[in-house]
Amino acid sequence: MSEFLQFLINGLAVGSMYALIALGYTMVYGIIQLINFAHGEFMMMGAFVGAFTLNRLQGTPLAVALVISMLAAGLLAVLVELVAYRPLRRQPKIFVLTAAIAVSVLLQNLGRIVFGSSAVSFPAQFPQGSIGLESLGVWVEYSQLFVLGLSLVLMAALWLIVHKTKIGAAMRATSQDIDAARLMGINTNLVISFTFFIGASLAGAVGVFYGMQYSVDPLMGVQPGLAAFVAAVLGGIGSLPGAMIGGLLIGIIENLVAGYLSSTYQGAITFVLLILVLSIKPTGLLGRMAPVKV
Amino acid sequence: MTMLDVQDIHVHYGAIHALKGVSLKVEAGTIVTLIGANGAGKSTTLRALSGLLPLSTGAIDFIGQSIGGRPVHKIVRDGLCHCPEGRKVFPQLTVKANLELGAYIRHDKTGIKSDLEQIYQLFPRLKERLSQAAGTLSGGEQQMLAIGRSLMGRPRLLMLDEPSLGIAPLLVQEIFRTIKKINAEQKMTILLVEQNAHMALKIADHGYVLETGKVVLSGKASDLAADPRIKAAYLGH
Repeated sequence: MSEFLQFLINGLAVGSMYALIALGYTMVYGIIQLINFAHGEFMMMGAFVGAFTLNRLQGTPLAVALVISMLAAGLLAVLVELVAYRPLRRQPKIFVLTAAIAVSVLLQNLGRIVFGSSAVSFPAQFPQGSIGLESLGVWVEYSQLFVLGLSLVLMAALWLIVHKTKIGAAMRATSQDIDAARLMGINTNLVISFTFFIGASLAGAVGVFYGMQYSVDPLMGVQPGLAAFVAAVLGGIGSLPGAMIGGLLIGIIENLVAGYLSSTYQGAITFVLLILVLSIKPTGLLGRMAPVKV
Repeated sequence: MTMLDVQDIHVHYGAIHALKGVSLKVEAGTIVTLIGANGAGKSTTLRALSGLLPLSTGAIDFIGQSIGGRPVHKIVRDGLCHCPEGRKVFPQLTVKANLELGAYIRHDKTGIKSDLEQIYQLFPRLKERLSQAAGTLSGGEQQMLAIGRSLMGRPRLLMLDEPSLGIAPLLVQEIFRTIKKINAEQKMTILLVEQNAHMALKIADHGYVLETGKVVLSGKASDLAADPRIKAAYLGH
């Protein structure tokens, strides 16, 4: 039982990061029906900016580094949309999807040129250690607690933006009917830029969370990016609660598989899940049966 | 005062020449209707006026300002509001949220509130369904919502595209009565696109007849309604 609980806690910690990345996938899909395959790279860029800020500008508080990373990842995404996606918006969807794959490879290699291909570590931020829950026999690391807590804060902030602000109303309108949104006087180009910014800034935050626990390298965005993509599909692409639930589920399932079977299958299970979801319930857990738009 | 002056506009969909020189005028305070068969270019005209479709050539003056080529969201802010064909309500948002989005360009909270009340008076059915998702409304109710949503932006000129399309006949009557009421009570200038020429000519002051992308006939609505050519082609006599 305590073993199971431990896997569950580890899964939640990783899953909350997948959830944050998945939110970006699902937001962008919701608004322009694009699977932005470069999304994992925004996380990588956030991680490198975080590493740079913390290593080179010593004494920078983690909170400041986190904000800088989020801004950097967000602005990069705005630039990518402007340069690579927007000119293709009126073309068939496959064009912009291909562009997204190209941007992904481009950013990976740009990362290699700018930051070098060797792994970089964050300076130690926390007193290493964990909190033991003796009665249950499980351990929660400080960093896990930090990641879980901040993830919840970020998700709550996102919920507030989407449901309680004017730009959030514009986002929801744009995702349901872009022409009708324009006829309301909404500058939908701005809304699309803002959506990319918010989605990528969440990925940038995850980059910092990763950096705190693992090392940082130009290809680090690939695996979490794919896992989060599957999470978004599992939850129902276009659905924000779906992305959160999907992310947590993938994190937990990965950890259960690694714990009870073998960590060899940890990566494979994600794709088994993708195949299962697509063949059994392609709209995902919370997705709607909308053939074109979500 | 001429509120809208459209001069010889051409629009292409790829290789298709959809509008071949449409000119029309809308005087302040009037209802002008654009009638014609399916595919004549009525909706295309409205989409060009609101900026959803780019003009190939031609000019559009709205309240003395050239708006041809301006982005859609700015044209809305200029006061030209387009209530699109097929209603286009936001299906997953509540009726209230849809109405509030209509007032997206406004910042006067008290004005928005009193306008909401006015919409509820105009369309009591909407008030009963405020917290319902717009997608669950009937076609007629969605049309009311779409008109109400457009009014929430306090436009100078309201363009309605086929408000009778796919709606129960009883509701069609009600919607046309309301359109006339909006014009009479709020002094709203209206450009109405309709396939139902009979109803449209009844409430309009002036009419234009569109055929394959061109204006083939125009005049006072009452004259058009009496014109034997119109009767034969559009009024089913």
